[in-house]
Amino acid sequence: MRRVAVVGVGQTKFGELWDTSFRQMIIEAGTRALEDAGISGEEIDAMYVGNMSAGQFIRQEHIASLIADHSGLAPVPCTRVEAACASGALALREAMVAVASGMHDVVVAAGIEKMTDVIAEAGQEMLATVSDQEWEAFVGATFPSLFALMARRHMHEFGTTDEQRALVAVKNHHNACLNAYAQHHVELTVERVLQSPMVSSPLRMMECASLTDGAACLILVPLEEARKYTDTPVEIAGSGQASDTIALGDRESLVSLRATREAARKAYRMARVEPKQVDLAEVHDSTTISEIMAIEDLGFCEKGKGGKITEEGMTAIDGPLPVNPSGGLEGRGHPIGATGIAQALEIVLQLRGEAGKRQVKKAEVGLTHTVGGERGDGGGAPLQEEIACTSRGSGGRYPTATAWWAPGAGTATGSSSPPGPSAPTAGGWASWSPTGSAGGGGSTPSPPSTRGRGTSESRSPTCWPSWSWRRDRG
Amino acid sequence: MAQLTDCQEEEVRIGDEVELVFRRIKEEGEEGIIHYGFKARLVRARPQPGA
Repeated sequence: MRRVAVVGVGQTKFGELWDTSFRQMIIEAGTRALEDAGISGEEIDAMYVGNMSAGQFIRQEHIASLIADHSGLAPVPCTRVEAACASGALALREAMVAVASGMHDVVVAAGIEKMTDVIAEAGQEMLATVSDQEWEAFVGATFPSLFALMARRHMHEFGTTDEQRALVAVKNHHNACLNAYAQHHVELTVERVLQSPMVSSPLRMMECASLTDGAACLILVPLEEARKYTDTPVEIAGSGQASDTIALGDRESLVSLRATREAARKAYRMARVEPKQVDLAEVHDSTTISEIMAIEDLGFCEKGKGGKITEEGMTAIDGPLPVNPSGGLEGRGHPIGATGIAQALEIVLQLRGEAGKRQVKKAEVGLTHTVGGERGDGGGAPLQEEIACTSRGSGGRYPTATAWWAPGAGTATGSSSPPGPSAPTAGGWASWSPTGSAGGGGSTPSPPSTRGRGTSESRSPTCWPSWSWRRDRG
Repeated sequence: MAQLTDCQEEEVRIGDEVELVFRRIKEEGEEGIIHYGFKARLVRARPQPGA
């Protein structure tokens, strides 16, 4: 099996991108990734795209062909991968397998979701379609309510507090303020989190990820050839995937995800890494309790201590184990199919030393963790995936941070110039090549525009009511 | 999995004994087609005979 490296990354701004179509989004992310890798579209052998439900959100199925066509890359094979919230992570795994096996050499792993073209109520209904329809959705369960059950049990068994959960949201929103591509640029306090509207007791609005549009893209090649493309390849050293029951009620535990534990075990073994060797992690914080359970199940602390180590600042960006330096699903945003790719993208930037203001000091081994199922914005884990990324053998030779990320805007209002020196529009990836692209410095993309939002603080006001028990209580 | 019924959130404690009752879950569409199913009731909230 060949070793695999990431040599290019790109993403769109995450947020409510009402002026950008599905097609434009994937082209924008893809073009940036090609530009970052310094390759042209003609070199691509295959594409894997994570997407949960374009059929519901924009009434467009068959998106793999659409993307191959619109990017100008047809007849390059393009495959859509669906695994609820883990769609992007699983697309990355499939792309990795394709390179590792020797079947393909240059492979795109992408993810995309356009969720805000429907009203929020409808969007929540669509997300709920990934839960067990007969045993969960029928009786009124939504994802936040399922996670609320887990939170209640976690509080009951381990004494986890509302304040400890709130600190997860405070931390992740703070990190997102340092990430120009993140959806939510707002500093929170514990009080403010605990005063936000109740979604499903005990989880409140500021503890839950929101509806987001976004796309992200990675370019994978064999590690042995990676230096042809970049001085800073990041190896995907291991990957694990595991499944569990789709319905929460059938699980052995409400406070631990078996699929996370099993996927982590496999990824650690393949990468030959111990949890204590991990320098930073991007985990699936669809709700605050999700992150607390994740850091326990990934072996970063004893079961039940996730709230405590969060309170002690262990997972802060300047702590011993930074968790979700990008802002996580809560701060960066959670465009379902794009999330797994965006997590890996953050690890790549951190390991390259290009994460700007949110650069983690020691970043040689990173880990991503994505949970699919039980609905997008807060679910259990029927399907799950993690990828440990390391810069094995190359640490220290990386250049220091370049001006990739713009300073974290405290508030993002109005609009700014179009993104990037090569603002990708129509024409697709195929028309782009390193020499053909104009405009100053292909390796230092400009920050994204901040279009599409009034104030960055205004979370979609309709994103929460339907998250609680929604059906008739009669 | 089932919803709890005939109680307020504050009354419920982890470990409480419950029993299944047959109830209306929801109504659908303009026709109001009723979907029935099970909900759970606290045993201590069971109506007493003759009450």
